[in-house]
Amino acid sequence: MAERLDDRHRSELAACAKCLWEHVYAFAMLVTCSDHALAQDVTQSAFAAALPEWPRLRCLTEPERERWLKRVAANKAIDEFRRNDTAEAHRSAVWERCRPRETDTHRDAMVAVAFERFWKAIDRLPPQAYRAAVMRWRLDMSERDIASAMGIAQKTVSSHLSRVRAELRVELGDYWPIDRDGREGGASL
Amino acid sequence: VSNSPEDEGISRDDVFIADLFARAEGEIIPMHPDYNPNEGLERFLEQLGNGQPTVPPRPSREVVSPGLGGGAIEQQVTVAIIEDHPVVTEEVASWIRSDPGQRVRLVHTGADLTGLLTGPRALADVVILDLELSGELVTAQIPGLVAAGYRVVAFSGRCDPAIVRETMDNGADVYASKEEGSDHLVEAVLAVAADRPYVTRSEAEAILADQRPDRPALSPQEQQALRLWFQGMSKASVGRRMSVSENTVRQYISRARARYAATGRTASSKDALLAGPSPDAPCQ
Repeated sequence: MAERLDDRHRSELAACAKCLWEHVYAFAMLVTCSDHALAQDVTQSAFAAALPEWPRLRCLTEPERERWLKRVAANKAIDEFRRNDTAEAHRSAVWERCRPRETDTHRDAMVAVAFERFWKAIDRLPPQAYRAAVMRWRLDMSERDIASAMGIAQKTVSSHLSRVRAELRVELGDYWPIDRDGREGGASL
Repeated sequence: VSNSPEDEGISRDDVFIADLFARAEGEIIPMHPDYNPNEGLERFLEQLGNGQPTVPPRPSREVVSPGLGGGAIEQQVTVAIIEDHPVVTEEVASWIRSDPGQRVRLVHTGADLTGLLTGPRALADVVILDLELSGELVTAQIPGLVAAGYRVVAFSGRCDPAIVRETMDNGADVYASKEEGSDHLVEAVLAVAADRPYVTRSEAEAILADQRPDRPALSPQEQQALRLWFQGMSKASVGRRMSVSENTVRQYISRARARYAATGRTASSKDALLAGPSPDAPCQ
């Protein structure tokens, strides 16, 4: 009986993997600066970690399972970024804030040209600045948590993020929808 | 850690950029048509069908991001162990494995240097080298390792100061006796990988015992700091005895070691050694 139950769980996890693999991989690609090999590894690690947890995970909704898998995948990726063990202490707090961002009107309004300009600026960032940016704006980590995870000074993180903000403003130009006083402005997206 | 946007200082700019990153997650697969997103899926499903899926091995240091603002990811320091006694190799490997931060990754072991010097590039950042392989001293091989791009941590049961000096002269970054290994080997590997000096008491003894006429000249403070520290005092105690700070003691000891490094090291590493004190130099 136990074996049949285990087989059923494996079958369900296989179906889940077929459905969510690309989503988790895409997330891992973003977090790992498009490091395909590492993204595949952390994706596989996340699904491997799901098997012993499956009795609990199978009761969740699909978005909840996706959130769990992405959280595990990014933990693995952050392990690669980490130069010291201080991030461990912050990990639980960090991941309470890591969740798929809900679609909203703002995102829906983004036009292709704005996104292309955004990615052009991101694409030329040095590795450390890229990692700081993705941790800040995709993983919702605080500057303090990023500094701990990367083993660098918080001021350095602030400097990276300020520079990225400034470069994005320049690159997007009129497609930046918020003026410097924080009001909606610029070109209509 | 606070979560509220107000406490975190999240601006509308932040929300806007976060939306762009969220969009990037949806676009990133089409941006890389050469990559198969499901490359690992079939492997995972196969493992799932055969039993417990295995976690893939950690990626190698050579993995380099092809684009999207990424680059080589900061990874563990890689290390090779050259030791002709398997029991010692396993012991050193166990020290590496037991490092809580998993900061060092063992990528190669061997009983001789053959595998290290034949490839087009260095197999590891650091080599932990037993100085006596198959009954022969291999200190003369150290310059070849340095030239091939390795940093060398010599690890030996021999405590003869002359051998320690010869090892240092040949360009080894650290000499650690086997008695010092369990406490200092991992930290020494990390220090030399980052071009930070790391001084052991074996080295201090060898420097203090040096009577060669052409030996590097040490200042009186450097000699006193080395002597007191070698006698078993902590660097803090040495500092109190000499009426200087602990950091100054570290500088004295590191500078003394750097004078010896200057005789056998490559220029870049020599500069690094002379650049400043070692924050991780062993002390009690």
